Amino acid sequence: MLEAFLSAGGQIFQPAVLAAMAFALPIGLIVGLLPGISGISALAFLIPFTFGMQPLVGLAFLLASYAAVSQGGSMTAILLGVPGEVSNAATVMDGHKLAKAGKAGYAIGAALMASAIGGLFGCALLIILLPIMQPVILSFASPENFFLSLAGIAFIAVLSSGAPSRGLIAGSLGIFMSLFGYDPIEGVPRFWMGSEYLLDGFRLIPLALGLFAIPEILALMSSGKSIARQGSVEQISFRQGIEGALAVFRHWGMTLRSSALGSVIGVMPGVGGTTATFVAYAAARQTAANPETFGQGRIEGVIAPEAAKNAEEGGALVPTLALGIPGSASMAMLLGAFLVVGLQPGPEFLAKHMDLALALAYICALANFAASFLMFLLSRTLVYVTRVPGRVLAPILLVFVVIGTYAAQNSATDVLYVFIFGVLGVAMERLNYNRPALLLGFVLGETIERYFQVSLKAYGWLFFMRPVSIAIIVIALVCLLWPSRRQIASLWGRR
Amino acid sequence: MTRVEALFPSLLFMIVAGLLVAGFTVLGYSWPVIAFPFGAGAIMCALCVVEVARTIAGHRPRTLSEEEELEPLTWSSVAWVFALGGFVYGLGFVFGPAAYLLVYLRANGSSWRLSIAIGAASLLVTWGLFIKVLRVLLPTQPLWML
Repeated sequence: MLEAFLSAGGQIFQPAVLAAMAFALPIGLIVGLLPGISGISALAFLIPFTFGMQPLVGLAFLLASYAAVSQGGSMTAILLGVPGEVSNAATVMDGHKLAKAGKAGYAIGAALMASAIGGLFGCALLIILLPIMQPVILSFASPENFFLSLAGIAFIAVLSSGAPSRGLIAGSLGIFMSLFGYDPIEGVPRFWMGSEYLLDGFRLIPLALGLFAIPEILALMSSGKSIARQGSVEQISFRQGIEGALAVFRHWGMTLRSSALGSVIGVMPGVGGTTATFVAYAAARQTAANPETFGQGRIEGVIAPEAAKNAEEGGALVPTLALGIPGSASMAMLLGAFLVVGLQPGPEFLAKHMDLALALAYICALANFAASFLMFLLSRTLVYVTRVPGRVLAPILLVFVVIGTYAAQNSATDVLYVFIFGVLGVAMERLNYNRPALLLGFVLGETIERYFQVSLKAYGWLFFMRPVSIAIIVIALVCLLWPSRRQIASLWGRR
Repeated sequence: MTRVEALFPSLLFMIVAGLLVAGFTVLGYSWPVIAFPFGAGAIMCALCVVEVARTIAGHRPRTLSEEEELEPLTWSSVAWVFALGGFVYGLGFVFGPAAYLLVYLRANGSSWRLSIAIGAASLLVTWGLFIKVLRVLLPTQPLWML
């Protein structure tokens, strides 16, 4: 095990890995500040550029840019009252009040330091949990892996949207779409409709970009606005920033508590960053003196959600790497990126590539810290990115999508499918169908079929009666039904 | 909105059910080949039927705050997105995007200076970065000539 720790440490200091991170961080910071581009869309935009990279280099590029994107969201939340992502919404309540009171630098310093510490906390948890989980996970056979994969899709589909039934439709549609092309057991092409392109099935990059990038580009083109009006951007004082960073250490107990809350929520598949930030905010409010002043510009109201938000991502990586079940919607996209670079996270991945998993945890920690530091240094300049109007930004992003898609596999048909999946993405977004669930179903669909076929051959139709399988099914059902426990109890009472 | 909300799952149902029926009949897949898609597709179709029934009965899903604040889309923006496909088909992957950016930005109120600068930057990125530096095989000639 010590060997894996040392090997992981050595791997992240490879020049190619450091160069990928150095290249990704500024991209992530700019993308994070751009209007309307969420972390999951940023990952979709950047995945085509990882083609041809070594697995660790490609994943370092994506993880570093993703860590930086979330820092940008905090900046716009504090300065403009516009959260870059939903998970930044809790920061708006006190952060924007502080900015209005002329303490923008103070709030930003605190947010960036809290993010860095939260990120480090989450990654430390990941590093501790991965080796502990390995022996448990190695006892899983194909039936358990089959149920785990199904549970992962169900978690994302049911828990991370307001419409569970539509989430389940999206998840099952994703699985169905992954079954086009050659059958993994019999080798017969399915539903290819005479198109050579479909012999290998649909491809991940056109699907991801169509589902996530096209709807955001369309929205940007339609509104044409920037998030900041001319003259509305607050000036950031460097001195205030230092004071804000020091405030995190004055409230160290709350910072660690919020980080722990964020990490634990992150480990729960499908619950996500928004829950983590609001739970941490509520906990900070409950335990603080004068809780009624929260929402009026308390620095604790910035520190708690920011620490929880970044700690949550480290926690979300635990089930993603160990079980192949994404802890959040963005992790579903990252799971797709693993496939693009030729890796399949899950029990086998941990057994074969523990050093790589640990290296990713180190990268995550380093990227969080570096992104906070870089954002702090460049914040005065980078904040002007928020003035770029959507009508200029949208066509540039669209061109990047088209060229990135073509460059990934040198296929013009892929570009055509980006537009087709774009129509699907817009419809799903407008009608509240869970797009990450579709993507995850697509990513895991082939694996689910393989585990199903192997389980059937090895254990017969009663493969679900194995004790570990039953335990997984029961735990998954309890987790899925827990939010609706009151309705279930009242229905039970009526009987 | 209810009609559109019912239409989407109905369309999904028809497409998936159609593919499954074709798999059994026209395409003649054996049971081991079609069994898993049949299971996945049947579950999806059942969920779609339930969703259509719920929508017609007036059940509306709880929406999250992010989804309530969606920007209304305009038909012109939809047309502009698909127009890039036309430019790429007509002029290739190097000149097509540059011409698209120039035309789009001018048509949407940007100055000549900005439009030309961004168009030129696009040429620099596609030809300079992708083709010359990254050695990506982007077709320089129009797609209809390939």
